Amino acid sequence: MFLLNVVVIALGGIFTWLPAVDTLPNIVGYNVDSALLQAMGYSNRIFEAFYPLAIMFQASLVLFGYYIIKMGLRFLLGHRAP
Amino acid sequence: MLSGIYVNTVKKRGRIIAYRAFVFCVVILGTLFSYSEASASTWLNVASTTLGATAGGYVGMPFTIESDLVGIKYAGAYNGGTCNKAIYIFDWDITASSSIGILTSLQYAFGSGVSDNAGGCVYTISSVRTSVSPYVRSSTTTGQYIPAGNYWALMTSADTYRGVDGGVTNARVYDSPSGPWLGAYSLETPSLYFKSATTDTMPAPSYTPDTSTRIVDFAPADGAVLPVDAPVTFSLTAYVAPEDIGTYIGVRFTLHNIDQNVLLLSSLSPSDFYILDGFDATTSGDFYFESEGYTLGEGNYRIEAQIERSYLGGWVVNPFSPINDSQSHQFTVGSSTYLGNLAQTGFTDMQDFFAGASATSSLVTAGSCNPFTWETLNCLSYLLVPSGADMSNTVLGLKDMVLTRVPWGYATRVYTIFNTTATTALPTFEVNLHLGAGSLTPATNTLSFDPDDMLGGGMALVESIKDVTYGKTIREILYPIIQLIMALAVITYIVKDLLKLSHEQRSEQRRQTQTTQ
Repeated sequence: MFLLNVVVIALGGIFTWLPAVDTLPNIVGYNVDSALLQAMGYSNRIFEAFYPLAIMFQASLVLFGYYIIKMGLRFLLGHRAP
Repeated sequence: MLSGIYVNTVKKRGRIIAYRAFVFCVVILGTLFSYSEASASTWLNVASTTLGATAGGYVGMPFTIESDLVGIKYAGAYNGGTCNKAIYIFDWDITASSSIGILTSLQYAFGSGVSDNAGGCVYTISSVRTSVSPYVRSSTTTGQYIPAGNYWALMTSADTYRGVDGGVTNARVYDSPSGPWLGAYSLETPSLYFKSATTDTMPAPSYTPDTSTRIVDFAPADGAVLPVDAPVTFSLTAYVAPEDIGTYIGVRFTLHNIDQNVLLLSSLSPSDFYILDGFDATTSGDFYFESEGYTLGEGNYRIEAQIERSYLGGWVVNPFSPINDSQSHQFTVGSSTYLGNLAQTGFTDMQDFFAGASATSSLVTAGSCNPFTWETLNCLSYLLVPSGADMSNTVLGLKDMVLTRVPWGYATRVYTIFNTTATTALPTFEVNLHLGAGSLTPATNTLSFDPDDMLGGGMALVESIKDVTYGKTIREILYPIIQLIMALAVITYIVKDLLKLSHEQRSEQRRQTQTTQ
């Protein structure tokens, strides 16, 4: 646990100069953040009625995360990626 | 050469296994670990039902005080009559439904009210009746200590209050603007509802109070999260027994704020300031202090209350006195900081380690690693498994300090948006109908579709269908099954993908080996 905290503090110290992201930026004057929020709001409303869709959406988020991690590792490790 | 190829193959296979295990664990653990803030519990829960009301029976409102209270602020509205009221709080031990039954009473009769206030009466509960209760408390002490437990409250008039000692029958609660003797009063939140009753002589209380010199409570409460724009008030309630006060001896109180909202390595800013420093009690009884409001910046704080035996007017403190006690409450103003949380969690862990007496304290758990009292599972758990609070703080710290930074912060923000649970009502669609194709006549008919209403109605219909035997809805039956199937499908897909990777790697290695040969 101590090592984990040290790693987190070290990473925090390295990246603290980077700006924090609160909302997504506007693209060509279009507010992407509020559009996504509204879309998710509508989706959640539909998911309330059709709950299998909600479960499938959560599963797709897990797969999305898996692919992001895989792509990230391949990008970082390059030819050394197993 | 063959042995070299063999060693290289073993090394590569080891890396493959480590890579597969790492990705699998990150994905699965990432879905399993979801930290949400624990909700704060209210200190006062009020049931919504009342006991049966019959003549001669006590009725009232059952409610629970979850943590020891220091004072209740009571505000009631009363139209007409006088404002003399008393609230009797009794131990919850009613066994009979319509009569007094076995009633053990813990009587706190709270002071009579102030003058009529524009048609209503406002009370601050500030005193305890001294005639019947074994508590002998000062009638002027503000803030009353009420231990946690189940109670029920009976509201009655001042006549009955006076009549408790001698017995006055047929007292009524004149507190309803209209019948049927039903009143609602707000005790901070939520409200307390009750019915009136006739009263007889109340039995003597049987509760034995704790009359040892001690710190009863102090505020802010441990774990409190306070708003950043409101001044913070510190308070301390303590009780001093008569035997701890003498000619040359007294009891000293100290309440001081230990500011943890500083960098761990910084000692530049003084972080302690004393709110109530070294007050010496020369009389026994309840003591209550309340400071002025202090404006504190955002971050983590700790407040410490101390009580000690003092001599000669407080100049000398006996370090070995059994009444010496020091307690800390840790609280947050606004948002906590990662380093502040680390400091607070560390303090809590150290307190648990040195002061723990319960079976689950760190000190007791560490004993399981003693060779003479060895317990493998407990010892491994103590050594390797971090506490939930530590993990939660570390994950949140990683999220705040690293994952929300440009450029990967955009992915985190998208992920956060995808994980929101807030819903938005679907928009209504309107279609204007024109008369005939190509007609230029303005539309006079409009069809509107409200998908939100349609969904809501459909959902209500489906949710109303329940299983005859167990009363479960279709959702409650099918949801866990669908969730399990999807989870297995996702895990199978990920494992298959990792195995496919491994198969491709092995084919690549075989080709390389053949080329080398």
